[in-house]
Amino acid sequence: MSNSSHLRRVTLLLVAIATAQVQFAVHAIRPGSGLWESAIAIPLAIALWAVARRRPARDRDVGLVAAVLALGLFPLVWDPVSRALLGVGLAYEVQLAFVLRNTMLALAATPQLPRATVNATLGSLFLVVFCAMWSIDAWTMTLLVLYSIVGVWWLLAAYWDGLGGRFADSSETAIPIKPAVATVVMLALLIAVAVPLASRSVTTSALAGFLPSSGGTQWSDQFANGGVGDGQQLVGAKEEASSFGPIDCELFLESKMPSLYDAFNEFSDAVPKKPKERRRAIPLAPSQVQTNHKKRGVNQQATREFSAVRQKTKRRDINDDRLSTALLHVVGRTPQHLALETFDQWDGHSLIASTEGEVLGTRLYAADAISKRWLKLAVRRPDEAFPTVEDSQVRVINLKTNRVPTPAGTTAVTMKGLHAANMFKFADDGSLAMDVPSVPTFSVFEFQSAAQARYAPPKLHQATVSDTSATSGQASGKITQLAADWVKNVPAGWAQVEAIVSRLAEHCTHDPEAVVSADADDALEYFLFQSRRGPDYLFATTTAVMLQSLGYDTRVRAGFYVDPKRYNYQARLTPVVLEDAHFWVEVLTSEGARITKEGESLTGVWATIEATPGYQQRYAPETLLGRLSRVASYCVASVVAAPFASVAVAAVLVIAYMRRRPLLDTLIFSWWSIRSRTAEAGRLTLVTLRLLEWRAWLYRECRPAGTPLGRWGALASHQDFASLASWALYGSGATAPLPAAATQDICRRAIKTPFGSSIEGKRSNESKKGSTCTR
Amino acid sequence: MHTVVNPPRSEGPSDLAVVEQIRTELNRSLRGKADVVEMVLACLFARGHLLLEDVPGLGKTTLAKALAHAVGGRYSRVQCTPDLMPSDVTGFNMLNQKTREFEFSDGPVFADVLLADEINRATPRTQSALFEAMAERQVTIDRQQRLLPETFFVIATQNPVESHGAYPLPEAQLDRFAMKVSIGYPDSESELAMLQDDATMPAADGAGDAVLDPTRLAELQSQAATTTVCEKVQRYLIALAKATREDEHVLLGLSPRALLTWQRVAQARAFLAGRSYVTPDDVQDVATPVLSVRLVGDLADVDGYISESLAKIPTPTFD
Repeated sequence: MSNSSHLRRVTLLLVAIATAQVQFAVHAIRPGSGLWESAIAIPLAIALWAVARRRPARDRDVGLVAAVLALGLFPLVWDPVSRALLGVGLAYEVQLAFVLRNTMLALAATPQLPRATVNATLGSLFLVVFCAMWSIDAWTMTLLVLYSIVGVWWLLAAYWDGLGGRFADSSETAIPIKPAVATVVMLALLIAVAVPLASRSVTTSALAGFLPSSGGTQWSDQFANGGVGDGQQLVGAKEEASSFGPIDCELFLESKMPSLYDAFNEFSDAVPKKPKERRRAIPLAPSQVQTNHKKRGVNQQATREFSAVRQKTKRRDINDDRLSTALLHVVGRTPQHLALETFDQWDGHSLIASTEGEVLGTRLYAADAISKRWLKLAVRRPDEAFPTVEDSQVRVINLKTNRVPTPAGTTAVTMKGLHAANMFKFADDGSLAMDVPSVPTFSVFEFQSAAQARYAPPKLHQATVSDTSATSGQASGKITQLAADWVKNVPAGWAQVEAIVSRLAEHCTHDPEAVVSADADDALEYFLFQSRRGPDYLFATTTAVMLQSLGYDTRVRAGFYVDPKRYNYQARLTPVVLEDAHFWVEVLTSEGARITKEGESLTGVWATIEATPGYQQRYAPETLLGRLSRVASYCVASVVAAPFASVAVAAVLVIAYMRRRPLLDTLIFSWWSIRSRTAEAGRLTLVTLRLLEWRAWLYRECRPAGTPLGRWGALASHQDFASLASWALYGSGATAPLPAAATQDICRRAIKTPFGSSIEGKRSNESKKGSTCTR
Repeated sequence: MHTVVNPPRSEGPSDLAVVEQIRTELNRSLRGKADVVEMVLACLFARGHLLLEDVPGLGKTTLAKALAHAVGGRYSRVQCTPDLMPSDVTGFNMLNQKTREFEFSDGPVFADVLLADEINRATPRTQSALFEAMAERQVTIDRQQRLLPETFFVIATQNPVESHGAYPLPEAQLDRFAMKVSIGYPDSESELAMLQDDATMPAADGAGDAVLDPTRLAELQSQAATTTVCEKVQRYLIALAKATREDEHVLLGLSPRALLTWQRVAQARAFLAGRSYVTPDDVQDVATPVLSVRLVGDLADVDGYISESLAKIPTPTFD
């Protein structure tokens, strides 16, 4: 092994260590960060190496230099794209590290460039030190030690390779005039620009955003590593104290908090009832006015009913100074539904709250106890319909209620430091609540909830219409008939639920601004048969009522929709704001029965139904095995459903595969025929040669790298074409050796000859040995 | 059916006819060795010098004499021995007793074709006497430069078997040869024809008729030197040369002079094929004779190494 190749291998080792160091450091800052960049850049560097090693040496290889620059600057180009498309970005210093890493990789992949090996090594040294500043952990230290050892090895190799020769260019004694002048001019320009800019505070603020400690200024970046993240949004109060957010040391102005009542009732106001009598008012002098200093009452309880006949009013003025409008922060998989209220009756205009809590209220204390730290709400073993149990966390930020926002399918709840089961209770409607006037701000609840399987729907508890609760009777005849029409010929069970949801989505349009006319006798009939537009509560209510008319036990849940679009990459949580207030439906499965006062012993297992178009539902992650089996089932079902068509398609595919080469030959010849009409002799010869190389690739008979055209076995019977191709490739403008017609004729014969037969037995052993298809 | 394989050069088909005549003459003298004849012709038209390495009796002298006769020039032969002096090759100044002046007595180097037989048996001092002649086509004797013919062509032979009393040619001298060729034994058919010819024409010395004169040869050499080499092929040559320099088994890779020689020989090869441009085929065709004379290193099988190197470096096609 020569010294140069030895040095290159040691350099590659150093580069590999530095690359790993960068990845570990970035991972330490933010787990999972930068994977996309690395997944793209490292294969690109390997591809560059593969291309560069086969590229003939040139004094000034502009192409390779451009490739190195492109790979180096790739993170700067990719980051805006990633932020826009994936919602994932990198801190500026991480981008810088990736730029250096890519440049280092590109230089290591192109050792034929001047001083590329030395520069790659220097880059690796800088990166290793740079990344060690971010994080000192076991991996970092291990890699540092490893780098030091290999670095000594590299120095030895560099010495033997001729240290003087390697660094001679950098130790010139003569002053490089042109670079020196250019540097001085650039410095002068930079100073001229920087001084006026730096004198302004806005500049310094902006520059601060480029440092690792960015954050805390309005120029900061949401993907910055340090600082306080979106702190300026939470603590940047200027005029209103209520703009302060969940910062432990700050005061919180409770009276400005939106209550649960506000969230659902002031979000869209009910139609104001006209006063039956009016009182006359007379003006009073200011001295005669009695000012009421009593603190305004705050409604902390959920409403007992929710009218579907509402009108849109102007929203409450939101404190402009408060940029962080989150009511809750949710850690866990999204989308998710956080239930706060339950309605199970419909009177034609309003949803009536459930009374399930009257039964549940005693069960919590008697039957469930805190097991370890979890307060078990339901005992549920994973089954096919609810295969997994997931953890999630809800942080109450700015919502005043004693209700606990509970994920759908919750089986257990806990709150850090709270070990008394009697701190929880069930509200009147059966929703989970705390036995306090209001859940303390910044309370953190942890939940375990069963996730519903997407492709294994639960079996539903379907009773006869007469057995269902009183709500079923609220569906008008028209609605009942419509529901029956929609599920006609649909098997009972979950298929009917899906049919109702999909037909409703087709039938009506989700419009949050639409309201039901105050003159309507039945809000749902108005929604279904007149306006066909409406907000989420109308979709949920309609679905619930229709399903009830079909015998399914349903209820409407109100709460918040945890929107995946709001996911905060930096904080790794999803904020929930007032606009996320949402209604959805739950249907009782056959796992249990609704608890009634008459006493059913089992807690019902409710499956979530997202009835509003545009909203999603959380499903359990599908396993690879499940996915494969589903695909297999689909294939089998398709074959069974259409056996003749399936056999025909399979036969066509098999024939196409077996005859793939003739088919592709036909395509290639067709393409050649098109080009031959317009291309002049030289161009046509080159096109023919390229198509022949494609065919060779198809037939796994690629021309070996070092074999010239005249010795290529594929052209053994077409030496006339080989000569033509040599003229076209290397003739440098020499006169065409043959008339155009003769050239076309030779090209046609070369392209028309069946490839496999033409080379069979004619391939030289040399070609056979070195044949490698690299396309 | 179009049978045109090699596009003709635009300049003078008579050149090709002359080349074909020389080829015929040489093939007549050296039977069954058309490939060797092609290499010799390529070397001749590339204005290079040829080193023939083979055992005695394979036709080295016959080939050299036939070539000298074919090109119509003066032919000299030097049988190299350890006591051969440089002046025996280059010539010397001799005092004329009558005129009382020094007169130059030219040596065998003043010829159009010089056969230096068993050159590795001459001392390094004598071998070095050929340096200037081969590289610059001149000799300097008593501080006086004397020009050699423009078409001066050296065919040196050496016996690879004998090592006693031999002085291997130094790398510097080897680099002055354009190529090294081994003639090898002819096949049976060729030997049969040779025997039959000898039986019918026992007095024939193997030398054919003169096809051209040195002036015409110089024109053809100039013509060959104008053969186009596109940049792709030149880069290919550079890549091949670089591969020899970077290979750990090769102590001395190709020098820039060797690269120039390779290109010239490839041009001559294309010229002989009637083309006005060089292809990678030409480069590869002459690679073994050109490289084998100058590659120095730990190479058990030089020809095999050259083949492997050629197989590794991709030939240029599309940009």
